[in-house]
Amino acid sequence: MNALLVLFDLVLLAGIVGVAWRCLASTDLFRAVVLFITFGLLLALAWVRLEAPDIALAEAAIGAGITGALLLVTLERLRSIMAERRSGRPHSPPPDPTGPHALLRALHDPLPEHRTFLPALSFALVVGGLLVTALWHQPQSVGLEPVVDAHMDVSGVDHPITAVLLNFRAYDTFLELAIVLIALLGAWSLGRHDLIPARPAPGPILPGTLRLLVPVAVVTGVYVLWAGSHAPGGAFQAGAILGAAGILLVLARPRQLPMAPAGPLRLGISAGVALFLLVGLYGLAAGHGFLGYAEAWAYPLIILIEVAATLSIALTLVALFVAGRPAGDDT
Amino acid sequence: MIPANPEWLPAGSAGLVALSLGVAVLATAWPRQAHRIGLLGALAVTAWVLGLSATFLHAGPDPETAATRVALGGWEAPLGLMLQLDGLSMTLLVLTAVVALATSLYSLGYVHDRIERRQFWPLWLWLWAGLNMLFLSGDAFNLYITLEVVSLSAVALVAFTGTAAAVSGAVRYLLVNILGSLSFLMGVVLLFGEHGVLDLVLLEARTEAGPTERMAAVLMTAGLMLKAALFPLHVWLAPAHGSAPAPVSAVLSGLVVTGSFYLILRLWMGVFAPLATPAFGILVGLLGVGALIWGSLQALRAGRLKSIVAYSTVAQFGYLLVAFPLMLVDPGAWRVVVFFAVVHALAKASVFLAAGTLQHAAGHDRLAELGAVLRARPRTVFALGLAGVSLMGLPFTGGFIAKYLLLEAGLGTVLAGSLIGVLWVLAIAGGGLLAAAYVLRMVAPAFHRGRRDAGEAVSPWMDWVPLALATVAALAGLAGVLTLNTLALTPGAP
Repeated sequence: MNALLVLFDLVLLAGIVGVAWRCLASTDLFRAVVLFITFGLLLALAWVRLEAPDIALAEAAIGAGITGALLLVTLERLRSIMAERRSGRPHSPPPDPTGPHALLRALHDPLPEHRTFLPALSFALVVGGLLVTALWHQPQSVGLEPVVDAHMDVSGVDHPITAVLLNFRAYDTFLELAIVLIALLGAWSLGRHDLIPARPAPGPILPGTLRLLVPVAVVTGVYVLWAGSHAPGGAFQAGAILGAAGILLVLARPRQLPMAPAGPLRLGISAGVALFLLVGLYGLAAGHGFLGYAEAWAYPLIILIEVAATLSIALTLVALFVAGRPAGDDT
Repeated sequence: MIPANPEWLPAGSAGLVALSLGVAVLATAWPRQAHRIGLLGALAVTAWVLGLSATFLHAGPDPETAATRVALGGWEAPLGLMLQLDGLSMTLLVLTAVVALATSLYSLGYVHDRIERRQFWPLWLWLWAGLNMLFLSGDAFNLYITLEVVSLSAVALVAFTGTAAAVSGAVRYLLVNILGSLSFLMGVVLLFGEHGVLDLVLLEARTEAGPTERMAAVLMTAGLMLKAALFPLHVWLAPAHGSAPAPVSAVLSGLVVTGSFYLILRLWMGVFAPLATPAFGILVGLLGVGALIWGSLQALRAGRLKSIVAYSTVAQFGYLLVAFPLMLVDPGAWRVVVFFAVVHALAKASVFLAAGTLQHAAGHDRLAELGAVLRARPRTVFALGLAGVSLMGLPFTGGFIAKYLLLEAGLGTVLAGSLIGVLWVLAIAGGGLLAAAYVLRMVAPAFHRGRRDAGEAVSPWMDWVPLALATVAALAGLAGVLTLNTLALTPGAP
């Protein structure tokens, strides 16, 4: 049994390194993205083997799933831009040698490898070697586990990771939510969204699959959110699953995105941080400290924050996939 | 006047974080009123910071009673994370408030388009909130997250105009930031693995000069140097700062870069203090001399006004590096370094704002063709010159006091018998000459004979705010003693 597990770990390790290498070495961007998604899934397996199921869930949902979808849609956009340029509008201005089009071109004609290969490899080997040396000398540290365990009964939840994320270090989690929101604000500041250049998928297969998949995704998302209080799960993972369902819906009808009303959309994406902040302010006013809860109220407040955060994360991820700001936002 | 009560400090620090976050969230949720929320918020946050600093100074002169640690959510470290307010963070919070208020007022005129305004203000308010949180954070992992908030909103603001140059500058800036953040995070992970705590004070008590600390120090310092554009990791700075909208350039060169430098200083004065050796100090000092020479030469060669200013940031940050070996001889010199960074931030922000006004009026910022506009806009040129004089370090300006104190520390090193000290003194004095050369390059066309053309009309905000901020920069010398006294209220620092 043990030997089998060791064998599995070795195969997994070899797979991770191999896929990472193929992903970096690939000259075809589409293949690189697909390999990157595979890499994320293998990494999630590795986290399971390291007995960190929370990170595994997040890695699979966000690292492989959502990031993969974002990369693929970016690639699709790049292709349509390049095709437009190649079809040769006669009066188009000459390309700016430093502009984003130069970036696009660089993506399509990768640098000759020998120029960057040796420096990159030696840099990676030196830094990696030093890191391994440093880790080798590190004592077996227990970290904060005993301290967290000692405070579990006053945290309001039963899962230590959730207790740390939503109670003991709630400030960090609040800022992580904010970072997702800032990323969207940045994307929106660049322009209004254009229609996703998707190839319409004719036939009954996509709508039929969606009819099955979306309800399953919604139930799974809600379950993962609810499970977060006593088992691996939580707002980020649930938000990613619900966001994936939303992305599927967007993809199914690429030519007629439902026009999102601006006000509610803005409220939706900021609901997570807004509610979190309000609860935090209440804590400050009531004497529990900023972002603190009264012990009796910890559980309901944490659930409330997580529900709002899940909603905001899901909406934000779908909006990031669509990329530009909705037309309604400018009126 | 109500007597300030030191017991307000914890609530005041947490309240500052809450207030600046609240303003940012409100502007995000209600973009239609974002500029009004932003203006009111800017005034409120500035007033709050000034009130906090008055309370803080009143709590002195004992550093231990003035410095404050706030347990967020009531959870003390190591379980929870702590905010930390001391002389160093208080000084930088006040600096941030002054520069950010000026930038906000300037933006009222600069970002006038109805739709652009809605995109600009939320991002800018998040950036400001991020800076406030960065200076108040007392926890290694939380520092990483606040750095991310700052970097991400800064990247979005660089790309804001959407031109090809701005977007490619922003993409470069993004990649550099990610690399710097990852490097920093690896260092945090190493420290946490070794000591099992993230709180800076607890970490400081546990660190010794071991291999993990060395590796963490290298990773975190390299990452932050990349973010602070310290020579030789500065190559990304000029395209990003030069192509961003003027108020954004002002904040990037004045505050964001200073924030990364603040972290380097904070770490080396605390957690990594046992690792600092004279050889390390000399290496950093030599990098500083390189930055001074290289940055100045680039500034002398650059053809665009904003590029000159951007390269001068690279050069001026050389002084901060040159100060490291001085700090090893005279530990008290760190206060001079911070004062220099404060004066530089004020002057640099006003130079960028003035350059933005000129660029707006002329429609471009090619120095060779700016003469007519420069001659027709004496107020802006005066602001440019006044801030430039402070950068050069001519007498009676803030820059003069800062450089005088730096030179004093450098001469102290020479007197203490260090030969290499001569190099530091030469670099500090020579850097001022180079600064004079590129500042004069910017304002000289105003004194040539020739056509005058005020160019496009600019709003009064854009006309007066650079001048006001430049005056603050020039007069900052008067606040030198106050700043140094505030900085002395940092516990554990010499």
